[in-house]
Amino acid sequence: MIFQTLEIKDFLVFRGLNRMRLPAVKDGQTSLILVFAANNAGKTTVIKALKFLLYGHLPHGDVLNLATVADISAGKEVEGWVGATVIVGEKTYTFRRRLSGVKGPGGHIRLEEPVLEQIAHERKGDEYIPDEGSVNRLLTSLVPEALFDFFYFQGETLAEKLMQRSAHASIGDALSALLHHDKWRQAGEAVAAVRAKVFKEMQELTVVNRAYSEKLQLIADLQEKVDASEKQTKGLEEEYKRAAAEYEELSQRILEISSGKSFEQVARKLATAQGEAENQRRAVTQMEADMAAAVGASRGIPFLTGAFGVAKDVLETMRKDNLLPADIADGFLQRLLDQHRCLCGRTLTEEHDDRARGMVEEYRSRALSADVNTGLMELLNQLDENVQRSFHKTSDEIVSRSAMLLRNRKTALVKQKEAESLAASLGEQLRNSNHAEVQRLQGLQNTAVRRREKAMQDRRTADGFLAQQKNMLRTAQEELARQGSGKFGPQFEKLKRVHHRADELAKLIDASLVSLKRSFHTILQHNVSLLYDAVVTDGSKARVDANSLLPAIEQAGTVVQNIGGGQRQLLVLAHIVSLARLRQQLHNELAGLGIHMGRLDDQSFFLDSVFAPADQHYAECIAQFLPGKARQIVVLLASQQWQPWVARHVEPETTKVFKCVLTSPNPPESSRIEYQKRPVVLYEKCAPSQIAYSKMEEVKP
Amino acid sequence: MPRPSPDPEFKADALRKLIGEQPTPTQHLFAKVINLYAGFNLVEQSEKELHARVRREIEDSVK
Repeated sequence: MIFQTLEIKDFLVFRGLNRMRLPAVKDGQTSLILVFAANNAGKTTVIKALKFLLYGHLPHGDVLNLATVADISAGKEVEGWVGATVIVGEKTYTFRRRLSGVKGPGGHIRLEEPVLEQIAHERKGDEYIPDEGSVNRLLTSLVPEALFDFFYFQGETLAEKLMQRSAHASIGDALSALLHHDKWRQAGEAVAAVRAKVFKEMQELTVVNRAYSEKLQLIADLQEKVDASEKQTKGLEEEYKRAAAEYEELSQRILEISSGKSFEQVARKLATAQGEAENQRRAVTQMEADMAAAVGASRGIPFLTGAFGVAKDVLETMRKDNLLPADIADGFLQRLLDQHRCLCGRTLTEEHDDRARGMVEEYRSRALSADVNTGLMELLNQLDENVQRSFHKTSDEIVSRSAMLLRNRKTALVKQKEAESLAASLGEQLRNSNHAEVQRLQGLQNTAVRRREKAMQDRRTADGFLAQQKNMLRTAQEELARQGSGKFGPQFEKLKRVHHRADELAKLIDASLVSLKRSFHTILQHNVSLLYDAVVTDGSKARVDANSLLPAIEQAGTVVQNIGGGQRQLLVLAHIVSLARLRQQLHNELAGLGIHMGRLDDQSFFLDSVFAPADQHYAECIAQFLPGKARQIVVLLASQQWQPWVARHVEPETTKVFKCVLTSPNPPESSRIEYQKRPVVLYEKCAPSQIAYSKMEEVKP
Repeated sequence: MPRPSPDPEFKADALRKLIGEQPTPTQHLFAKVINLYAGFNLVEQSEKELHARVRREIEDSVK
């Protein structure tokens, strides 16, 4: 969505009608527009006006311009609006959101509900058509509310949001919407719901066949348990990550507050050792989970295969020696009696002796017969050789994989112990530093470690449980398939096919989302690194978290928080610009695969105060970065941010310039800038009794 | 200060592999169902109606 015009009438600080006509930009071209303003003269109001226009959110306080309200008499109506003409693909849309009210006797305004109107340009004049929902839907699809802060924002605020862990949840939702993961998930949930409904219908059909129906119920219960276990596993994984992140953050804080260099070095080594121990712990957990899965999947084949050989050997020996099972039993029992022992191992006494002998006689009469011996032998000989071969092959694979996992686990355990021992020793050194705050933080770290360990242990148990449940589910499904369903007629067969297709589809949707996220992370990391790493001077690197896709700054392998505002700003700009581009490329790619993710067009950015937190070097980097990065970028600039090192990069690339002129009894701190070697005045003085207001004007070249 | 070199383009190769060059019925259905949800904001449909459409698509695919 590209803005052709933006109109703000009597809204917050802007008095009367203020119109920005933005330059037309063709496909493949870019534009950079500057808006100069003194402090409190309307920069942030432009962002608030956009939010009001798109979603109808009213800012706090007096929304209609106070200077205009002061000039009308009580009982009169006053109105303000924010309107725009935007270009979406080949189409142009004009609309506004209007707010009106009546001035009461005390000067207070009684506001009506805001009204969204589509504007049709007719010969006799503009016609305002109240929106019946279509414009609202168009706006929310073009810029979902969760994404607003990515495109129209105050630099520092977005940097804070993106880089503070506490904001993960809301930003996570926004990223999810940005990359359309939300739609993907909704589709997956719908398919799962259809699958469950079809399954229920299958159950209802089979109610006449109790056994079949019970099996179906068992499968449904198991499926539910598997789903719940998977959810629990994911929850534990999240808890683990949260505790690990907390731990990591505490490590950073310990590093930050440590004043002495040696202390810092020890803390760094400690963090590395703890990281290594953690990696090895994860490796051990993974290998244990893999082993559990391998054993779960084996269905006892290795034991069964072993039993073949043993049984055959025993029976073969017995056959050669012409022995029958009853002979062996007889000899064994006789030996027991000679030793004055009972079958249960108890020592026989005179009193028990007769009863025990009686039991032995009875056992002998029931002992295995020659028929059993022959029968077993025949059974083993009849076993299909191919089945045996296949059992042996599967068994060998499982045994070999388990042995490999066991070896690797042992190595990882040794490494884990070494790293833990080193960490303990370094931790001891840190504790001896008598740094009270460090000790407090370490206490918190220990709590985080305990939480992490507990989550890991619970995860192990849950993994084992999940593998077991999946195995049971598979077995039940195989049994059900063998049992067949032909007797329930064509309707059941059809439901079965639909259920099977829905199942396949649900799995495909899940897998595709995972693969998309993964490939997205790779390219995002690459692009953000290209933009950030090339210009920073302290050797830090941009890092994009694989799970949350949030940006961070890494120095010497560790995430750092207390870094200059300019660097953070640069990182955040690199991140959002890369995201916006990737979003568009994602659409093109998906369209090539026959998937059309709603409407999407070039993205317009309104950036407020992006130079504010930056020192000269980074302000210059940002100034170099902005031109050409998007089809439309509007930069809202406080006069004090317009420094020579910014101007020399931005001025030659600027396509249009506006200014917000503040009329006020008191002059602002900085009220004049120089653009293309000419003065631009941003302030007009008025009478002390007059209420301050702003007007937006174009700065002519 | 040197300008960073242009970004490489995002390619959904992993997804392409999953969906396949010559799609199976399930893979073909995949695009249809995702498309239903992609256009969700633009058409007035309740969740129930959408579920019914998803089911119809799945049923059609097994005919």
